[in-house]
Amino acid sequence: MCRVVAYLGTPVVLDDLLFKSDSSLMKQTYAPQMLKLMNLAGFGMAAWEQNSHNPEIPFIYKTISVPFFDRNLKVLAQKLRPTCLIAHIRGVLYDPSSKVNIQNVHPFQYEGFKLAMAHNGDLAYMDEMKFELLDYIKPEIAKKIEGTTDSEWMYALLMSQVEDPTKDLELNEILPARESTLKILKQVRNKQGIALASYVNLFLSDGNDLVATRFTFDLGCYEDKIDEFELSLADLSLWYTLGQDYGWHEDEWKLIGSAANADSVMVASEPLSRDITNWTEVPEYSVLYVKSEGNRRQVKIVDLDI
Amino acid sequence: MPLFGSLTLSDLDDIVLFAEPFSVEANTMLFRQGEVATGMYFLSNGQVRLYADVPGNDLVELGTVSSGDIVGELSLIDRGPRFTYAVTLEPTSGYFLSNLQFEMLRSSLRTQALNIMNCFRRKMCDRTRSRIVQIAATITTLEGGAIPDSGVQEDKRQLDGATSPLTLDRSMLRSIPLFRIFTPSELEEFLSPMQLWDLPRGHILYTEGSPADSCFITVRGALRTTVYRYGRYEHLAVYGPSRIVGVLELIDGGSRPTTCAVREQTTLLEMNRSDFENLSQGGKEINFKFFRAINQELAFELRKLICQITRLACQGSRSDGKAWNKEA
Repeated sequence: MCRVVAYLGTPVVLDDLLFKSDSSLMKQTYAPQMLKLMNLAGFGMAAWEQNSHNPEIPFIYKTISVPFFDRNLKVLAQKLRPTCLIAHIRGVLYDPSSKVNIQNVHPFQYEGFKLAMAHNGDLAYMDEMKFELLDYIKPEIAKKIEGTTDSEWMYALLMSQVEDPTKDLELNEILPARESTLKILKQVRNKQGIALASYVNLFLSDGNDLVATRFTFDLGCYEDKIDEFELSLADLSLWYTLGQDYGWHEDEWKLIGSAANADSVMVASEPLSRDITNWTEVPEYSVLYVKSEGNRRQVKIVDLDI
Repeated sequence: MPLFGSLTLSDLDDIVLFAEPFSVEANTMLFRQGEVATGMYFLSNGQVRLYADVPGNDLVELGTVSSGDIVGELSLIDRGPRFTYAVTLEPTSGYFLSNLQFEMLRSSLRTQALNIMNCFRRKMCDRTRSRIVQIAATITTLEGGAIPDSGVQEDKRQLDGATSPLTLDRSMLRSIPLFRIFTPSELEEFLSPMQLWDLPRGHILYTEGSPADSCFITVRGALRTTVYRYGRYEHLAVYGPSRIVGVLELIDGGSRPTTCAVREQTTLLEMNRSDFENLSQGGKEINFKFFRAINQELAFELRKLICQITRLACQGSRSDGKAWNKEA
């Protein structure tokens, strides 16, 4: 399984999120709190910085080297102060068949497209589903698929559900597209007779909006996954926190200033601090989105009835 | 203490022998959220208020515990970290039972110890019911429109009849944590009185307010509990394989506090009330194992509900769980 952090809010020093927090994304590469084993297969991020040239285009960084020892990343993280971020540590099966290459590193964002996506989970029997999924992916988008991951295919499918993926999408376009994507996946799984639970925790952002899902197809339904069930639930959990001014406050890494006055939201596969009391778990079968009104940000969580 | 009203003096010896008196001033923090539990408190006098940290450095008030009640038992029962802060509102005194002493009580197979643990279990049921009421109360204050439907379309198809659990593959059962706690012969004894059901998504297992005649153990699939008010709903929990559902009502004799529906096609075992009572009250090893599994389940459920209350409070559905900023 992977580890992900997404952020939307006031400028934050990237170093604080990626390296400095006591359970930062980099520390999760070797000591995650809620994952037994991380088979590291790459790090990637999309970071939107308002003061940069073309601020609507994110700064993309991807590597398949061990990110904790990546000096370039560390130096960049000390300089960048993004207002929005999706950062992803890729975990793969401990198997020689796993394809570890730069094309498979998240987040995915095709050239000219506004929305970027990262995935924590695993869509079972993806190879069997691909040909069927092509019916639902626009040819001009299918041509862009470079990697071999289930995640990139889901991204291509998601982008095919919006009329124009090159425009700045509103929440009322992103949310139905995500729902439609999950419904198609369910339909194809049923048609293929896929009998294995599949986890699709998705993180989507275009620099202005942030959407995350906690969703599992056929949760607990198949015996071959039951033994891993307890572990899987923890692996596939989703957490959020909100407030102001992320940093070191009162001996903890956290956002302060009250949820009611929040201008920043963080969503992650596990809290970025050892003390998790300032984080809240997102329920199963839910979609979380950030509602922005001026500088104020609220977290909304709604049920996913798919 | 009303909590121990059902106990005999001989039962109470276990607590009297082990617990130590304590007395503190007002505004004393008995324990902090996130810390490892050192023990629990029996309050003879005074009041303790419980708070929980939520995002944004806010605190949510979860309630007040008064004299005659206990506080801090949840972390001892499930061995998890403290879930709340506990602060005295006035000079408070009573008895303190340390973690070690509680473990001695828990691991004892003596009837007296079991009777005391039963009292703690009933207390957890009370607390769970109050938390569900607290969550239901937030539904009226949810801002914005109602969420469109129940989240699960009800499936009213006629069910196939229940079958015997003897048909279940034992190696598959062994992969499920709850069944792993039993020896092979205990497992057969455990399964024998139960009925096996296959239920489609959308089937309503029971509705809030209905009488409780049985509890359920999920083998495959997932169930979900919900409370409904004013045409709106709040989902409470998802129960995957190995979870025991609907057990609280069998312990406290009340009605179903929630509605439970099948979220994913589910295979489950149904245990009726008399079998539940026989199994959870006997003096054999199997009874103690089941008893502990139920306590874990109740504690897990209670923690989930407290999480939900804090989440709703910081999303703006405050009810009596008020959120305010620590810095203010």
